[in-house]
Amino acid sequence: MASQWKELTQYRSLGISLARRDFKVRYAQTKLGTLWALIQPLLSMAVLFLVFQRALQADTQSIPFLSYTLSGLIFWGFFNYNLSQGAASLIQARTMLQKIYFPRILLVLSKSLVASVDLIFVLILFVFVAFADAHFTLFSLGSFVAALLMSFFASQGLALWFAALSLRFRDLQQIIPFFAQMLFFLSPIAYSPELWHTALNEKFQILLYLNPMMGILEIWRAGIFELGFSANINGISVSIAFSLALFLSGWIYFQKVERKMADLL
Amino acid sequence: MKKALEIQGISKQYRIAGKEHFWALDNIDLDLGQGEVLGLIGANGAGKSTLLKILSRITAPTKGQIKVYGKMASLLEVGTGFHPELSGRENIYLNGSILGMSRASIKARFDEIVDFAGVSRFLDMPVKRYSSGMFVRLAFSVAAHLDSDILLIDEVLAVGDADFQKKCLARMEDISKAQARSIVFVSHNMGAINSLCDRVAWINQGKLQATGAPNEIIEQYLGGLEQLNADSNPAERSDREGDGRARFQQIEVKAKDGSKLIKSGESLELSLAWESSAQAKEIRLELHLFNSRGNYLSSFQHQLKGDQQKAQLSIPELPLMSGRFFFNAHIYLDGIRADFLGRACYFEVLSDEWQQNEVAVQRQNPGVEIKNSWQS
Repeated sequence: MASQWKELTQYRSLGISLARRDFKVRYAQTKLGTLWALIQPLLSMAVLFLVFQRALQADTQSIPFLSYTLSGLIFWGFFNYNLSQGAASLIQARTMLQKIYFPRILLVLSKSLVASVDLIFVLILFVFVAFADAHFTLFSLGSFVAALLMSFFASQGLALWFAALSLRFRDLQQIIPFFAQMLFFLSPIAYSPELWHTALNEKFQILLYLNPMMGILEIWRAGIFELGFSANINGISVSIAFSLALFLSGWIYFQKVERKMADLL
Repeated sequence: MKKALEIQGISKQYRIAGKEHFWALDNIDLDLGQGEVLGLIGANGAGKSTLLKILSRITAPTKGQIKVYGKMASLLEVGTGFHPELSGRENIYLNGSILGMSRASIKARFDEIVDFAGVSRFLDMPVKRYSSGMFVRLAFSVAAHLDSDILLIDEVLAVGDADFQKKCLARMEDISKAQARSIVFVSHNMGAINSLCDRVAWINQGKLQATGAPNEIIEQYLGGLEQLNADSNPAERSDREGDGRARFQQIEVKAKDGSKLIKSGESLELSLAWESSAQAKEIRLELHLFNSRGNYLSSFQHQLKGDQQKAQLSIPELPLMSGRFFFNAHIYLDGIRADFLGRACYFEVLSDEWQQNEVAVQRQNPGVEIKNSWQS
């Protein structure tokens, strides 16, 4: 582990270069360019507003719908980008993997840098939209950092697993978009997690917290909207523990198969 | 000499379809001194590229170990990791960092890299708009400025125009001689191997066949190819035509000094020997020259008395491009064909100016060099 760490620091320029490449290439030759980083969440918001607010009248814990949903999209966007881009990163870089050696894990990890830039855009948007509803305190900053770390560990953990396994089982590449969509609906982005309390038996509720987004959003909203923890500490602990377990196990598995990767492509 | 690299008992097994296994490399022991240029030669599929992949850590060996003294960088294919949408400048940073350089050291060498590639005017243009020549020059240039102690190079010189080829060769020479860095160089181009390497290792079907001075090993290797392509002894071949009154016993190509290294523009000696079982007044020899693709190039004829049993053809200034060629041989006794051997004798032509005729090299269909001049 120590020698790996040393190698990663030697190659840190590569992580940054890969992220720059992804960022520049993504909006290359588009007319609106980086504005898309704002347009996408705005469009999502519009649809979510129609479905969850107008049609379903979902509860949002007494917070105005737009502020509430946007607070969720900040982390969902980050989580989703890491998961889907990270999971596909090895297969996309297949010629590089067959021709050049470098720590492969950087392909996956560097996606977080790109996702962070998006996150900052949405965060700025959020500050404007939720100016009246949010509480910008030290506590909310703490909850932001905690939620960000958890999002990083959980999404990277999943991405590492998917990326490494999908070299052997290409079918996984088909599952990833579907898996991400499933997580989106299971995550209380545009609705209150309290809805689950009435909808599900208590025994099953704890299982819901295996979805890291449950814990992430509760921690973050507890801070920014001063909501307090609506659910139990148990659930959140499950989310935290599971996120860390995903990351650690994903990292270890990834390292284990790293040297065989070129042969599997 | 201090060692830069030690390869100890490296083997690599691949699984082909189901339970069948195949040893791509079998117990290779090899080392590389500091500042040494080691050439790897061998037929396609012999395991050269697998060995480079193991050395560069792209794939792991099944058995054995490698000791590396210093920093190693590989140049298995120039331009890998370039992104077409990014500008030349951005690609220099991206490619440099993929090859293991830090941003600071890329920055320090940036001007050198751009100068070498000669693309300074196009630095801010996306590389997808580069001509293929510019692209390759830039890609090689980044790789040629790596600050590694050991450089692994696989067939990169098959690209670029003639001037740039020379620059690359000079650069490689400079890397090994002036900067005392070591190079492992894989190529099918015997001319390049011969002029660039200090030592050559021949890999044959996954095994290390021989190592030694470039001249010797190349000759052995080409000799081996000859055996592979035609029976070692023309006398024993059964795939012949003619009425059998005469049989070729020996057909051999050599340079004037007796070696198998035949160079473009220098002499070639072909010796023929045969035995005949019938009396004849007159013998006629007919030789046809083809390139490795089987394209006809020229013919040679000779008439001699019926009691002769050998002859020698001399071509003082062989006007062939570098590449592989062969002769078909016929012998006629009193006007009736007595023996014919197809692909009777293979030989390889090396050229010191092996990239001079770039267009011809790219066709991989070696032909003749015609002296010429232009007026305009």
